[in-house]
Amino acid sequence: MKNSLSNPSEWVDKHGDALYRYALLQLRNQKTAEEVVQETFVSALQSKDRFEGRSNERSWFIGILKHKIIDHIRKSYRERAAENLDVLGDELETMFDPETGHWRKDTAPTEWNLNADQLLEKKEFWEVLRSCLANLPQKAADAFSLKEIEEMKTEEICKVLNITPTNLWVMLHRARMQLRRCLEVKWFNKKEGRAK
Amino acid sequence: MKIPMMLSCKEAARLFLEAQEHSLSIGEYLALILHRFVCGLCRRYWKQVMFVQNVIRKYTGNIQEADFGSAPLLSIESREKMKNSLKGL
Repeated sequence: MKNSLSNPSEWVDKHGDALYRYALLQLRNQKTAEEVVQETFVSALQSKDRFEGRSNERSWFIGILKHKIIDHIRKSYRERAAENLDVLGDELETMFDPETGHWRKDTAPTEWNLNADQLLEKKEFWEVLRSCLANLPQKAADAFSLKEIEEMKTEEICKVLNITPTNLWVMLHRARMQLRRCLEVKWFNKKEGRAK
Repeated sequence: MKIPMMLSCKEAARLFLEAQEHSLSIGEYLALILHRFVCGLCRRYWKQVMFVQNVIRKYTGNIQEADFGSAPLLSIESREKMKNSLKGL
Protein backbone atom coordinates (compact mmCIF):
# COMPACT_ATOMS: atom_id res chain seq x y z
CA MET A 1 0.00 0.00 0.00
CA LYS A 2 1.28 3.46 -0.82
CA ASN A 3 1.67 6.11 1.86
CA SER A 4 -0.09 9.42 1.43
CA LEU A 5 0.88 12.84 2.73
CA SER A 6 -0.88 14.37 5.70
CA ASN A 7 -2.40 17.82 5.59
CA PRO A 8 0.31 20.53 5.33
CA SER A 9 -1.19 22.30 8.32
CA GLU A 10 -0.05 19.35 10.46
CA TRP A 11 3.50 19.11 9.09
CA VAL A 12 5.22 21.52 11.49
CA ASP A 13 3.78 19.83 14.59
CA LYS A 14 4.42 16.33 13.30
CA HIS A 15 7.93 16.74 11.89
CA GLY A 16 9.26 20.18 12.86
CA ASP A 17 11.25 19.11 15.93
CA ALA A 18 12.81 16.05 14.30
CA LEU A 19 13.86 18.02 11.21
CA TYR A 20 15.19 20.80 13.40
CA ARG A 21 17.28 18.39 15.49
CA TYR A 22 18.69 16.83 12.35
CA ALA A 23 19.56 20.22 10.87
CA LEU A 24 20.99 21.55 14.12
CA LEU A 25 23.24 18.54 14.50
CA GLN A 26 24.80 19.28 11.15
CA LEU A 27 24.75 23.04 10.97
CA ARG A 28 25.28 23.79 14.68
CA ASN A 29 23.55 27.13 14.42
CA GLN A 30 20.02 27.63 15.62
CA LYS A 31 19.05 30.33 13.14
CA THR A 32 20.50 28.52 10.11
CA ALA A 33 18.88 25.25 11.20
CA GLU A 34 15.48 26.95 11.47
CA GLU A 35 15.94 28.50 8.05
CA VAL A 36 16.69 25.21 6.30
CA VAL A 37 13.76 23.51 8.05
CA GLN A 38 11.48 26.31 6.88
CA GLU A 39 12.84 26.00 3.33
CA THR A 40 12.25 22.25 3.54
CA PHE A 41 8.57 22.69 4.39
CA VAL A 42 8.11 25.25 1.62
CA SER A 43 9.84 22.99 -0.95
CA ALA A 44 7.78 20.03 0.25
CA LEU A 45 4.57 21.97 -0.25
CA GLN A 46 5.63 23.08 -3.71
CA SER A 47 6.52 19.54 -4.75
CA LYS A 48 3.94 17.56 -2.80
CA ASP A 49 2.49 16.16 -6.02
CA ARG A 50 5.80 14.41 -6.54
CA PHE A 51 5.48 12.40 -3.32
CA GLU A 52 5.09 8.88 -4.63
CA GLY A 53 4.26 7.18 -1.38
CA ARG A 54 7.12 4.73 -1.55
CA SER A 55 8.72 6.09 1.61
CA ASN A 56 7.03 7.33 4.74
CA GLU A 57 6.36 10.99 5.17
CA ARG A 58 9.19 11.59 7.66
CA SER A 59 11.79 10.05 5.34
CA TRP A 60 10.53 12.17 2.48
CA PHE A 61 10.98 15.35 4.53
CA ILE A 62 14.41 14.24 5.71
CA GLY A 63 15.39 13.61 2.07
CA ILE A 64 14.48 17.17 1.14
CA LEU A 65 16.18 18.53 4.25
CA LYS A 66 19.43 16.71 3.41
CA HIS A 67 19.57 18.48 0.04
CA LYS A 68 18.96 21.83 1.69
CA ILE A 69 21.72 21.23 4.25
CA ILE A 70 24.28 20.14 1.66
CA ASP A 71 23.37 23.13 -0.54
CA HIS A 72 23.86 25.41 2.41
CA ILE A 73 27.29 23.97 3.23
CA ARG A 74 28.33 24.02 -0.44
CA LYS A 75 27.43 27.70 -0.81
CA SER A 76 29.41 28.64 2.28
CA TYR A 77 32.60 27.08 0.86
CA ARG A 78 32.24 28.07 -2.78
CA GLU A 79 33.95 31.41 -2.32
CA ARG A 80 36.76 30.25 -0.07
CA ALA A 81 40.20 29.35 -1.35
CA ALA A 82 41.44 25.81 -0.79
CA GLU A 83 43.63 25.51 2.29
CA ASN A 84 46.63 23.38 2.89
CA LEU A 85 46.72 21.52 6.13
CA ASP A 86 49.64 19.91 7.81
CA VAL A 87 49.01 16.22 8.27
CA LEU A 88 47.69 16.29 11.80
CA GLY A 89 50.93 17.82 13.02
CA ASP A 90 49.32 20.17 15.52
CA GLU A 91 47.15 17.58 17.23
CA LEU A 92 49.95 15.08 17.64
CA GLU A 93 52.27 17.80 18.99
CA THR A 94 49.83 18.66 21.75
CA MET A 95 49.11 15.06 22.72
CA PHE A 96 52.65 13.80 23.23
CA ASP A 97 55.78 14.85 25.05
CA PRO A 98 57.98 16.58 22.43
CA GLU A 99 61.16 15.00 23.81
CA THR A 100 60.15 11.39 24.29
CA GLY A 101 57.12 11.07 22.00
CA HIS A 102 55.18 9.38 24.80
CA TRP A 103 51.86 10.41 26.31
CA ARG A 104 51.91 13.57 28.38
CA LYS A 105 50.51 13.24 31.87
CA ASP A 106 47.61 15.61 31.21
CA THR A 107 46.62 14.13 27.84
CA ALA A 108 47.11 10.40 28.50
CA PRO A 109 43.76 8.68 27.97
CA THR A 110 41.91 7.91 31.20
CA GLU A 111 39.84 4.77 31.56
CA TRP A 112 36.23 5.20 30.40
CA ASN A 113 33.07 3.48 31.46
CA LEU A 114 32.26 2.18 28.00
CA ASN A 115 28.84 0.71 28.57
CA ALA A 116 27.21 2.04 25.41
CA ASP A 117 23.72 0.79 26.30
CA GLN A 118 23.72 2.66 29.57
CA LEU A 119 25.08 5.74 27.87
CA LEU A 120 22.30 5.84 25.32
CA GLU A 121 19.75 6.10 28.08
CA LYS A 122 21.38 9.08 29.69
CA LYS A 123 20.04 12.30 28.31
CA GLU A 124 22.85 14.25 29.98
CA PHE A 125 25.33 12.32 27.86
CA TRP A 126 23.59 13.40 24.65
CA GLU A 127 23.64 16.99 25.80
CA VAL A 128 27.39 16.73 26.33
CA LEU A 129 27.81 15.07 22.92
CA ARG A 130 25.82 17.83 21.26
CA SER A 131 27.90 20.52 22.93
CA CYS A 132 31.12 18.73 21.88
CA LEU A 133 29.90 18.58 18.28
CA ALA A 134 28.99 22.24 18.45
CA ASN A 135 32.51 23.12 19.60
CA LEU A 136 34.33 21.55 16.66
CA PRO A 137 35.99 23.99 14.25
CA GLN A 138 33.49 24.69 11.50
CA LYS A 139 35.21 23.09 8.54
CA ALA A 140 36.18 19.95 10.46
CA ALA A 141 32.63 19.72 11.74
CA ASP A 142 31.18 20.10 8.24
CA ALA A 143 33.51 17.39 6.92
CA PHE A 144 32.51 15.17 9.79
CA SER A 145 28.78 15.74 9.22
CA LEU A 146 28.93 15.00 5.51
CA LYS A 147 30.92 11.85 6.12
CA GLU A 148 29.23 10.45 9.22
CA ILE A 149 25.70 11.74 8.96
CA GLU A 150 25.16 12.04 5.23
CA GLU A 151 27.52 9.14 4.48
CA MET A 152 28.70 10.89 1.34
CA LYS A 153 31.63 9.61 -0.67
CA THR A 154 35.06 11.20 -0.29
CA GLU A 155 35.08 12.81 -3.72
CA GLU A 156 31.61 14.30 -3.27
CA ILE A 157 32.58 15.79 0.09
CA CYS A 158 35.77 17.24 -1.40
CA LYS A 159 33.71 18.98 -4.09
CA VAL A 160 31.29 20.43 -1.54
CA LEU A 161 34.04 21.68 0.77
CA ASN A 162 36.49 22.62 -1.97
CA ILE A 163 39.34 20.57 -0.49
CA THR A 164 41.68 17.73 -1.46
CA PRO A 165 41.17 14.13 -0.24
CA THR A 166 44.24 14.42 2.01
CA ASN A 167 42.86 17.54 3.64
CA LEU A 168 39.55 15.80 4.16
CA TRP A 169 41.29 12.91 5.83
CA VAL A 170 43.16 15.26 8.14
CA MET A 171 39.99 17.08 9.07
CA LEU A 172 38.05 13.93 9.80
CA HIS A 173 40.74 12.69 12.13
CA ARG A 174 41.00 16.05 13.77
CA ALA A 175 37.26 16.02 14.39
CA ARG A 176 37.30 12.49 15.84
CA MET A 177 40.27 13.20 18.09
CA GLN A 178 38.79 16.45 19.33
CA LEU A 179 35.43 14.80 20.01
CA ARG A 180 37.17 12.07 21.98
CA ARG A 181 39.04 14.62 24.06
CA CYS A 182 35.93 16.73 24.63
CA LEU A 183 33.89 13.72 25.79
CA GLU A 184 36.71 12.67 28.07
CA VAL A 185 36.91 16.07 29.76
CA LYS A 186 33.20 16.81 29.87
CA TRP A 187 31.80 13.36 30.57
CA PHE A 188 34.13 10.44 31.23
CA ASN A 189 36.36 12.24 33.73
CA LYS A 190 33.29 13.40 35.64
CA LYS A 191 31.40 11.29 38.14
CA GLU A 192 28.75 10.06 35.68
CA GLY A 193 31.12 8.63 33.11
CA ARG A 194 34.05 7.50 35.18
CA ALA A 195 34.98 3.84 35.03
CA LYS A 196 34.17 2.02 38.25
CA MET B 1 71.12 3.28 17.54
CA LYS B 2 67.39 3.45 17.26
CA ILE B 3 65.63 0.14 16.91
CA PRO B 4 63.09 0.66 14.12
CA MET B 5 60.62 -1.80 15.66
CA MET B 6 60.20 0.29 18.80
CA LEU B 7 57.94 3.20 18.01
CA SER B 8 57.12 6.05 20.35
CA CYS B 9 53.41 6.63 21.02
CA LYS B 10 53.53 9.67 18.75
CA GLU B 11 55.05 7.71 15.88
CA ALA B 12 52.51 4.94 16.44
CA ALA B 13 49.67 7.47 16.33
CA ARG B 14 50.90 8.86 13.06
CA LEU B 15 51.20 5.39 11.54
CA PHE B 16 47.78 4.42 12.84
CA LEU B 17 46.29 7.45 11.11
CA GLU B 18 48.22 6.86 7.92
CA ALA B 19 47.01 3.27 7.88
CA GLN B 20 43.47 4.63 7.52
CA GLU B 21 44.46 6.36 4.31
CA HIS B 22 46.93 4.05 2.61
CA SER B 23 48.56 0.71 3.22
CA LEU B 24 51.71 0.66 5.33
CA SER B 25 54.94 -1.13 4.49
CA ILE B 26 55.31 -4.50 6.18
CA GLY B 27 57.93 -3.07 8.56
CA GLU B 28 55.65 -0.19 9.56
CA TYR B 29 52.71 -2.52 9.97
CA LEU B 30 54.62 -4.91 12.24
CA ALA B 31 56.04 -2.05 14.27
CA LEU B 32 52.52 -0.70 14.78
CA ILE B 33 51.15 -4.09 15.83
CA LEU B 34 54.02 -4.54 18.26
CA HIS B 35 53.51 -1.08 19.72
CA ARG B 36 49.82 -1.67 20.28
CA PHE B 37 50.60 -4.97 21.89
CA VAL B 38 52.92 -3.47 24.48
CA CYS B 39 51.29 -0.06 25.02
CA GLY B 40 48.09 -0.09 27.05
CA LEU B 41 47.55 3.67 26.79
CA CYS B 42 47.62 3.61 22.98
CA ARG B 43 45.27 0.62 22.86
CA ARG B 44 42.92 2.48 25.16
CA TYR B 45 43.18 5.67 23.13
CA TRP B 46 42.34 4.13 19.77
CA LYS B 47 39.58 2.04 21.26
CA GLN B 48 38.05 5.25 22.60
CA VAL B 49 38.35 6.98 19.22
CA MET B 50 36.46 4.08 17.61
CA PHE B 51 33.93 4.15 20.43
CA VAL B 52 33.24 7.84 19.83
CA GLN B 53 32.72 7.07 16.17
CA ASN B 54 30.18 4.36 17.01
CA VAL B 55 28.32 6.54 19.47
CA ILE B 56 28.04 9.26 16.84
CA ARG B 57 26.65 6.72 14.38
CA LYS B 58 24.09 5.56 16.91
CA TYR B 59 23.13 9.14 17.57
CA THR B 60 22.77 10.12 13.93
CA GLY B 61 21.09 6.85 13.00
CA ASN B 62 18.34 7.47 15.52
CA ILE B 63 17.88 11.15 15.30
CA GLN B 64 15.26 10.99 12.58
CA GLU B 65 12.82 9.04 14.66
CA ALA B 66 13.66 9.18 18.31
CA ASP B 67 13.50 11.88 20.92
CA PHE B 68 17.02 11.62 22.20
CA GLY B 69 17.24 12.94 25.72
CA SER B 70 16.04 16.47 26.00
CA ALA B 71 16.80 17.07 22.35
CA PRO B 72 16.45 20.70 21.28
CA LEU B 73 13.00 21.69 20.06
CA LEU B 74 11.86 24.37 17.66
CA SER B 75 10.97 27.58 19.42
CA ILE B 76 7.30 28.55 19.56
CA GLU B 77 8.01 31.63 17.42
CA SER B 78 9.73 29.72 14.62
CA ARG B 79 7.05 27.05 14.76
CA GLU B 80 4.38 29.71 14.19
CA LYS B 81 6.43 31.36 11.47
CA MET B 82 6.73 28.06 9.61
CA LYS B 83 3.02 27.36 9.93
CA ASN B 84 2.24 30.81 8.57
CA SER B 85 4.59 30.39 5.64
CA LEU B 86 2.86 27.14 4.71
CA LYS B 87 -0.52 28.87 4.87
CA GLY B 88 0.67 31.70 2.68
CA LEU B 89 1.52 29.50 -0.29
